[in-house]
Amino acid sequence: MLLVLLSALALLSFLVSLRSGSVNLNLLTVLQQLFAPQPGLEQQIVWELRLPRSLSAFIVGGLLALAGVIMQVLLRNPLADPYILGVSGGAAVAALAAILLGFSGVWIANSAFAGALFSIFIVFGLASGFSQNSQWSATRLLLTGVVVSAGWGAMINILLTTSSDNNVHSMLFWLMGDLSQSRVGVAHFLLLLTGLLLTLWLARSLNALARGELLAASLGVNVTRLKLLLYFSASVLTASAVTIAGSVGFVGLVIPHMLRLLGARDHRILLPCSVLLGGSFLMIADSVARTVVAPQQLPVGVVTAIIGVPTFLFIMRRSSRQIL
Amino acid sequence: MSIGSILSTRELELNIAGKTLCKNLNLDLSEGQSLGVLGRNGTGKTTLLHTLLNFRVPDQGSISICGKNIREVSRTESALNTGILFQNSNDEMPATVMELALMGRYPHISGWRWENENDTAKAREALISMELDDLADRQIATLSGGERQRLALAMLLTQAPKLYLLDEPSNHLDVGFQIKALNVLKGRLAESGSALCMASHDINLTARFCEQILLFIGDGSFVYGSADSVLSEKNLTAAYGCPISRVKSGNQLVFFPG
Repeated sequence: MLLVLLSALALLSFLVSLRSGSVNLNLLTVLQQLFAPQPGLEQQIVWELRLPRSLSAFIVGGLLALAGVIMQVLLRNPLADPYILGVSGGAAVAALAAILLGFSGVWIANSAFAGALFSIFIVFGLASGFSQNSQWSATRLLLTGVVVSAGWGAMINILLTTSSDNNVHSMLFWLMGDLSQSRVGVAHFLLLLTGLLLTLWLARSLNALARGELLAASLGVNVTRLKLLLYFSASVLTASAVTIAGSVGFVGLVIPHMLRLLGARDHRILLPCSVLLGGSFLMIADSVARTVVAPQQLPVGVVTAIIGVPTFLFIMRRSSRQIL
Repeated sequence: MSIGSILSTRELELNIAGKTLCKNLNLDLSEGQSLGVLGRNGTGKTTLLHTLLNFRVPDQGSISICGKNIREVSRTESALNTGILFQNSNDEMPATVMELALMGRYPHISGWRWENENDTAKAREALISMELDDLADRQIATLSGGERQRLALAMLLTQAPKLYLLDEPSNHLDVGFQIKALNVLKGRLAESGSALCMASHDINLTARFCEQILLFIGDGSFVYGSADSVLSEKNLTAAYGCPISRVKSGNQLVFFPG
């Protein structure tokens, strides 16, 4: 039921985001251009500007919400988000360094991805003590991640304070999350799909792990293998999202909670719902980011929080039963 | 190994942090039987239960459950054979009472299959037996300590293993529910040919429901045997470090300090 509603919402958000921007197109024009493109300015706007951007927004939103669900279960901490273990920090330092060195476009993205991967391995290595059979608890992983993030934060500040004004502007946009330079390909879509299918396959184990590692083990879950799979899949999903759009905040933290408050607690429902709602949410947020101060644009990461905070608080107040 | 054997340990040795908890422990538990594990804090009750679950490797010796060495069975088979009531639960993530009870069915469900009516019926039956059926849609965060403990018991009943391990089953339960919960479990042992092993601090409750007792003395030694022989004033006084008296009331043994 929720899935059907959210699919409809995703479609609606998609159309809205194609309509809106510095030039407002009406729905009919959008549909016409989508299904029977006619050469001209409108075709260019729809196919070359808005469509790639809407798809980027959907995929980034989906990746982040999915990674958020995984992290919250892995760490059994409602405050966990995709960035908590330092993936975005590593990506940010590398991306900012690339901006500082005068690289642009795809090289900033590549650099961010490399930085994210580096951070993933550093955090995992430190948490597991670089030895093969040592136990790494959720708390140990969380602490390591938070500490490494703090380190990245310091390096980000160094880069910001020592850069020229011109660079700082693009750096800030990157840090806040921005979709204006984003282009996604089939690979990103496949990654999102693979991530979703893999976690759906593990969904029952995720339900069990959410109740603690010992309980999951007593129900027959291979906890060590599951945690490894979750850590690396969440990290790769986050790394890709950050590479596409910078560190867009809020989506990965709050979308899973919104859905849990709406009753989607079983991961077999929660995972696909998160992808749909995360994607829709970011498409809407990006539409707003493009229109409120048009022709100027806001970083989408600012808008996610501005829309998301009141929405989340509203839903939390509405749900009478004590859940969080 | 005799016919109907559920649990047998051979020359089991457990050490933790350089301290020997037990050596040469040979437990034998058959269908329908109950074993009570007693001893002071930190003498190895929980460690023994976790070892029986294959959560940790014994330092010496072997463990067979339902005739198979537990090191050699798959995780799913192990979860079908052995289930546990833990001392603590992780309730940071939201869930309803019914959702949690249904989780006991996970080892029975494979691949992409969802819980079917049979699974739901088993969960509901377990909730009814723990008098939680009225709370089926409640959030677990709203439960009292005793209700939460009964839910954990209901989940274990839904899992329906051959060997029930209980770590402090009387935690948070009032006397009425302590007796009720163990009666339900005893009924389950009789009807499904399973066995029970419970660690507890309540000597009276343990004596009432368990015909076998394993008493950890605390210096690495233990006494294992029938309830009547193990639960002597001398053994209990040695194990608990305070004088314990035993009287017989009707056909019931009663223990009290002093």
